[in-house]
Amino acid sequence: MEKVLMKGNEAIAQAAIHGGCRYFFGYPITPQNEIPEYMSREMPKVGGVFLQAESEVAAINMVYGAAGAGARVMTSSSSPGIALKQEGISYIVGSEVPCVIVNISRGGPGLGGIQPSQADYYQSTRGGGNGDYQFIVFAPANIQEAVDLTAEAFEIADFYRNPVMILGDGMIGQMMEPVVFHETPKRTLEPKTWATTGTKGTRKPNIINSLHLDPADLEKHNQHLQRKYQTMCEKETRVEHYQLDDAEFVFVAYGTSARIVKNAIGDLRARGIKAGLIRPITVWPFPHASFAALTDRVKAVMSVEMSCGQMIDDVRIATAGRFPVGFHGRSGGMILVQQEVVEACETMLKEVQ
Amino acid sequence: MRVFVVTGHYGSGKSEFSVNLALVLRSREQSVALADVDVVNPYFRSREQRALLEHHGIRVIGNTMGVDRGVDIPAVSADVYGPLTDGTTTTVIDAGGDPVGARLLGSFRRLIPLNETEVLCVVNALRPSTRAVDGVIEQIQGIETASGLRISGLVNNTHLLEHTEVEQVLAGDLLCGAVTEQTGIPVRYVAAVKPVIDALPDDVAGERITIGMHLRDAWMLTAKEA
Repeated sequence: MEKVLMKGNEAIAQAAIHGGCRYFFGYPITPQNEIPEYMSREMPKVGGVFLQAESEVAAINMVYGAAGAGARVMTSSSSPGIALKQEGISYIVGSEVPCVIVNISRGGPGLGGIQPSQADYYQSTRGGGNGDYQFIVFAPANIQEAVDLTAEAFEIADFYRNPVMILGDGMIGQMMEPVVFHETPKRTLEPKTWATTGTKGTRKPNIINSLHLDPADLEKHNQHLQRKYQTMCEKETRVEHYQLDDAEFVFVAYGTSARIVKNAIGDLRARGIKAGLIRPITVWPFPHASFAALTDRVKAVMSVEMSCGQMIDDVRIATAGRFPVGFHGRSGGMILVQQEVVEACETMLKEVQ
Repeated sequence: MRVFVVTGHYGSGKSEFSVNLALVLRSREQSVALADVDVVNPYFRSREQRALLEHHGIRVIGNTMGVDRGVDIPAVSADVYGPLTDGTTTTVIDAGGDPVGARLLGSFRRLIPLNETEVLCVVNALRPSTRAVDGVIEQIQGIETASGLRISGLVNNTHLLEHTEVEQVLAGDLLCGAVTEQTGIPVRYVAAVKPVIDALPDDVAGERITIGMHLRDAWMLTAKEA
């Protein structure tokens, strides 16, 4: 297929259709509105269903229902809307049904603002819902990557019977870039024998449920879920290393921030500072192995985020006290400034010497 | 022509073209204004280039809130009426994308001096819905119906941002030519980044506008992975 110019949100919506999504339930919120708008126009053309729910809570429960019936289904929202979906997400994980959730995040807390932000790291990787649950969170840094990951997310969700989240800041949703729709990598998937598709009088009804009143039964269910999460950690962690091999200063950044940091690394290297980047493509599972592999050559590690500092917790866990860990961030919808990233690095290097 | 209404498919590059057209017009005219009446896009609006435009002596009209970034309410300032009716200000009106964005033009259509106005439709042949003649004509008809204005000129703005190649602009030239054949609407401008404009053959339709990519920050131009 040839290259076309697409806005992040419409590219994500088209990628979902490309990945087999045929049901979309959502509710409008800036800066992700082009996703439901695109779905409302394009879903009927592929025999799919678009429905604007009465609220985010309704939308996520429609996703729960459609996923339980075995559909490839997606919802999208932005930060405060995702907050409203947390209860449903916990139920979806507990019931082991697959779906894809897109968060094009904006500044918070509360209604916050409509400009890009990465202050939903905790909400995405720790969850706002109840119980011991996890799901894979992809954090694309450009529109092509957003397209590839969104299409593949449906395969992965089906494979694990677990939600997959696409976490893009507002800039990933709103900016335009050239994209190509590639063949999606396929997985060997079991038939959805658990789905509520009607018994036709031939079997016992399937029940989609997250209620386990017997504590021993619930503990066993949790142990089963934990084994799935463990497999995801082992098999699904994705990371990009950028100029890391000889790096003495290691940035950690994802999404839009990673792109600005890459430019800053160019500036720093031009001044003789060997800087590199660990870019988590999955923010959960977090790429711990990349940090374990860092040698004593590294003088300092710095988490750079468009938030007041959330991923830095995972960076501290991953570095386990081996290196000084610094932070640089902007929040509220302010975008990082390349020169400020350069200065933050230089300041920290002086401090650790 | 004194008034330039810039319409087009969303993502066609209207705002970037509008900013660049205003800068070109300012090099010829004393009094130039740019009115951003896009109420659809939350990011990448021409009014965010206020500092650049004002530095060049171009008046910028945004919304009633006096905020250029981060407000997504359909509030267009009544200040837009001033330059339209004063008879002397060369004005670029950056309309929202698609028929839905052009609808707002209908609200001040009567103030637009039609005999000295060019209504432009920006075409990017590399956007999925305007790759073929039918798609472009559908856009034109939709915008005309929503705005109550007749499109008088096309802008061949075929591009993949900084990755644009000459062949792609030529494909856009073919597409626009076919649209002209069917609708009678001529190509007024061809717009591209400097290396591409410099390399265009002589027979490409439209006055050449060199695009400075003002709406994109430096970090966005490094998307080589894409």
